[in-house]
Amino acid sequence: MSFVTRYLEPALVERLNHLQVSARSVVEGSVTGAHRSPLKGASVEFRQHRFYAPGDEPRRLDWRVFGRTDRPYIKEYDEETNLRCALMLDESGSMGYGGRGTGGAPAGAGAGVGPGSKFDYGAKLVAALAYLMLGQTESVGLALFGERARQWLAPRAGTAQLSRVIDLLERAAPNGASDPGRAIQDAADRLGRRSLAIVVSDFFTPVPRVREGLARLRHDRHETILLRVLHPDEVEFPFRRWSRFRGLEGERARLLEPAVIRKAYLDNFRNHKRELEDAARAAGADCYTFTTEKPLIDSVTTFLRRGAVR
Amino acid sequence: MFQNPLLLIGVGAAVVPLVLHLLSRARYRDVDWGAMMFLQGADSRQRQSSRISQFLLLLVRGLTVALLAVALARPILSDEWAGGAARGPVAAVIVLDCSASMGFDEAGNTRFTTAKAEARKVLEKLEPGDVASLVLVGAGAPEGAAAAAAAGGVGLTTDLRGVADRIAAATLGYGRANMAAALREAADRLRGHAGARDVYVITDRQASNWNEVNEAFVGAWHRREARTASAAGRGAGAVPRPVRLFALPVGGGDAQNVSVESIDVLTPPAIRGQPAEVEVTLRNRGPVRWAALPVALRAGEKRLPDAQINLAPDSVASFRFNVNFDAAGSQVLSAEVKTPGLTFDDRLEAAVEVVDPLRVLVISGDERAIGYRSESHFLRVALAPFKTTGRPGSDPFEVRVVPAEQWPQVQLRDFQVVVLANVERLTAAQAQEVEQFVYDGGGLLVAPGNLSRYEEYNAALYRGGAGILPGALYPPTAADGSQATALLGIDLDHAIFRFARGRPDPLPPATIARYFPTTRRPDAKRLAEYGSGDAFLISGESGRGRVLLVTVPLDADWSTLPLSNFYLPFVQSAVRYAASGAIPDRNLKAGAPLVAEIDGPLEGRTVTVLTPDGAKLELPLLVFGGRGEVRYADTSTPGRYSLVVRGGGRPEQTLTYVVATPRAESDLTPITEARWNELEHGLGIRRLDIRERSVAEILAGRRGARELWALGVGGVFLLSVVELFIARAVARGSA
Repeated sequence: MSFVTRYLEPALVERLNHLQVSARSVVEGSVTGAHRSPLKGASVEFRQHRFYAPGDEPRRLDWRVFGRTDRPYIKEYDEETNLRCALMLDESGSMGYGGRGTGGAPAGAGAGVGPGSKFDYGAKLVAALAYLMLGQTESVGLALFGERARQWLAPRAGTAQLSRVIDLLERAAPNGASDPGRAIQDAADRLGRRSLAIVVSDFFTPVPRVREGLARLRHDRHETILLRVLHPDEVEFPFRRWSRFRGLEGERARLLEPAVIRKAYLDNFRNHKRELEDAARAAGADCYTFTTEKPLIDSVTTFLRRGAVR
Repeated sequence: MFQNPLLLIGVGAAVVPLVLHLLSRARYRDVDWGAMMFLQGADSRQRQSSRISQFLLLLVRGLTVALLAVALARPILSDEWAGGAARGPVAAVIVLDCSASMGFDEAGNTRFTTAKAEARKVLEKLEPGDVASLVLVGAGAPEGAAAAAAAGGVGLTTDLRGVADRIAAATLGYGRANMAAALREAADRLRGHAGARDVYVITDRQASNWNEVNEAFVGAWHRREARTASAAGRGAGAVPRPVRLFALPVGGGDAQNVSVESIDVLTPPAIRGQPAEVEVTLRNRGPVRWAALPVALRAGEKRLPDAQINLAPDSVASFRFNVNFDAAGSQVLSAEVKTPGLTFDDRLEAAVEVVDPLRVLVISGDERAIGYRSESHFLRVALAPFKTTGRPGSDPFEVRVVPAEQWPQVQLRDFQVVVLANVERLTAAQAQEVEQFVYDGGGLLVAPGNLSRYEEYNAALYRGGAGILPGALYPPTAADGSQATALLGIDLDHAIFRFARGRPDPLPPATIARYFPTTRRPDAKRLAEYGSGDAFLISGESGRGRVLLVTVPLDADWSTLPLSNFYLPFVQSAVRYAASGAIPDRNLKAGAPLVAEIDGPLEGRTVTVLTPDGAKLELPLLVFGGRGEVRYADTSTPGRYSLVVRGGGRPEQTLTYVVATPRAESDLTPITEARWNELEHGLGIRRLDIRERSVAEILAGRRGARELWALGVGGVFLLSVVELFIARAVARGSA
């Protein structure tokens, strides 16, 4: 298997192709009506006709063309098609959980990058979204972050951009601490024009920091979607034996008896989740949660069809 | 105190939960974890939880293991520890049934073997300081005293090893188990013991063992206990605890048993050269039907043809056979069957004294007539048929007929039986001579006839009942035959009439035209009677001899008896019977003294007795009125006892006596539940099945102690539930 196609397997690509949804629906379908783009208007410039795809609004049909050709076409305007999307992927140490070398085995080189890790899942998710949107001639950018934004690929359209995105993903490895809030602010500094920000992270960070970042995005009038990627172990905490938990982001190791601390962990986890969702809602952002056990294509499909796990 | 102290080692396993906890803590796994932020606070909870819930869990788990080990060790809490008074050592009397029924074989093991094993178990559960005693019951001798002596003296002993040795040395006896006597003996031994007092009766399930434990015995037992308690209460010592009785029945309830009950010479004595008819009786106790059961017969060392007998369930059956003895002297007949189960009674021996043809003197009142009309004709023919008729063969009797007037020419002591056949009268001297003859062991047959003066017989021989005649004579019945009668009743069980047993018509078809009515002497026996109710035959004993009074002459003058087929066997039987008085019965019951007369000159004679167990003892020869006599008292062991008489210029003579094994133990009828209940309620006997409750448990309770294992197990269960709750609470974080 080609290293280049690790995050876009042929089977996944084929499934994505069959989805036949427009990138716009990614935005429009996932953004509530109150947040529909205000950019459509008289001042936008006609760009091209495009064959009607399911999900397009019927009011955008060019009836004259339909009358002539008996085929549905919609009109695309520059402003509508020039959607800028910034995909932000967390590459902190905690995103490496679930990959080779984690989950109880001694840590080794390349830990967290292997299949099964949250980073792997997140990267595939980012790649899938980038593929979809770039295929719809949208502009897609990528930011990899830890405590701050480490890698920044400005949003651009075109198939070459997909290669650049994939390349960046391939060279990334989860490490270090995480501060999505700070990273969001860094991205907001660079985004400029109004854009869609999709943050893919586990959000293992104090919610106030995230809230600050979301507030900045909202202030800059960006649309924000939070895609939370978790491992089932982090949701259920199934451990039984005495375990020494070594922080993937450099935290102090702790020798604990899971049976004793399990309830406290789950309470903390649930509280944090609720807090995060409240913060997202307050900031006008949507928040979806995926676990790595769910097949990626199912997660993408569900998300695109507005049945995403929240 | 613990029943299984070795299991206390398991208490050490209480540290296992701690070790496991430490091991599991030491053998932790490493987890590279991303959600460390959610472990905040759980850490402190862990630390807090470690101090409390972990400690609690470990404590409960350790306690559970330790308590389980203690429970398995079966702790016993004595009253002493519980604040009660100390109970002192246990006194245990073991009553071991050694009677013959304990020899019943069950799958290769006798009940006696099993009983001895149980007795040893009782001893093994006693502790140093306890005392024990052994009573052997049914051994056929006053064994209790011997056992007490062997166990270390009269009464209880701390020498438990000695008691165990005595148990091992105990052998089966031939006597009956009398549990009443055994319990009395046991109670006597326990008298005065201050501590716990137990009696263990180890026996089979034979009902007859407990025959003497009746209402009277139970009442006496309780009175004795009450007296013991009140006597102790008045004294300075503590009131002894009541005696506790335990019955440990061994073996099953199988009562099937075939025994050889008796061997009898039907018409004693046995006469040399004459076929002696012998009857063997067998008894079948139980439901098994035996068809053609072979019976091995022996006459001395000579094996006779086997007989076969059919035995219905719970029945008695007999068969007869003839045996010829070629020589006079002591002989032994034996009969043996082979059946499973109890074997001591499968064989029986009987001593038979074989005599030379009996010498009979017939003193005839009228020998003037010729042929059958003489007084003695029919007698002679009956007693010596071969000689009388001139045919080849041996007669059982040597008969000499003497007219009454020639009586002084004969010596009565040269004969064994004298028949007074229609003798008119006896002089005083003759009466005295006849009396002395009878007292010396001779047999007398008196058959008065038409010549006999009944009043002189009464005066000379009856003498108001003091004489030898067993009945007083009255004037004969009418001569015209108007009072003619016939024989109506005869005692078929008597030796004289055994010949008639089995006959379809035992009574002779004979007419008795006249006879002498009689009144019987109080100690005499009427053996046969007429239809008129008067006696035909009366038997009496005087001194060592026997006298038979026939109330009709033995010729054909007054009856047609001599013409019947009854006459010959009757006369022969009567004469044999009369002669038997002087012939010793060499069959003895166990324990009966052996008394033997030694004939002939006594100077230089020695007598030695050989016992069944091989002992050889010389016996002193006692002289009584010119006769020699030896006595031997210890005949408790069944078997043959041989007296060997030597010296005095006489050939060596061996007299064989047989002590038969008592058949009292042959009845294995098991004790019923109702009877057990009677014993349990009346006497307080507790029947124990060793398989259900060990002697150790009984003794534990006896010491005033309580077993606590049940409490321990309950505690383990409770702790397990508590552990479950704590573990769940810890898991939920509520510990």
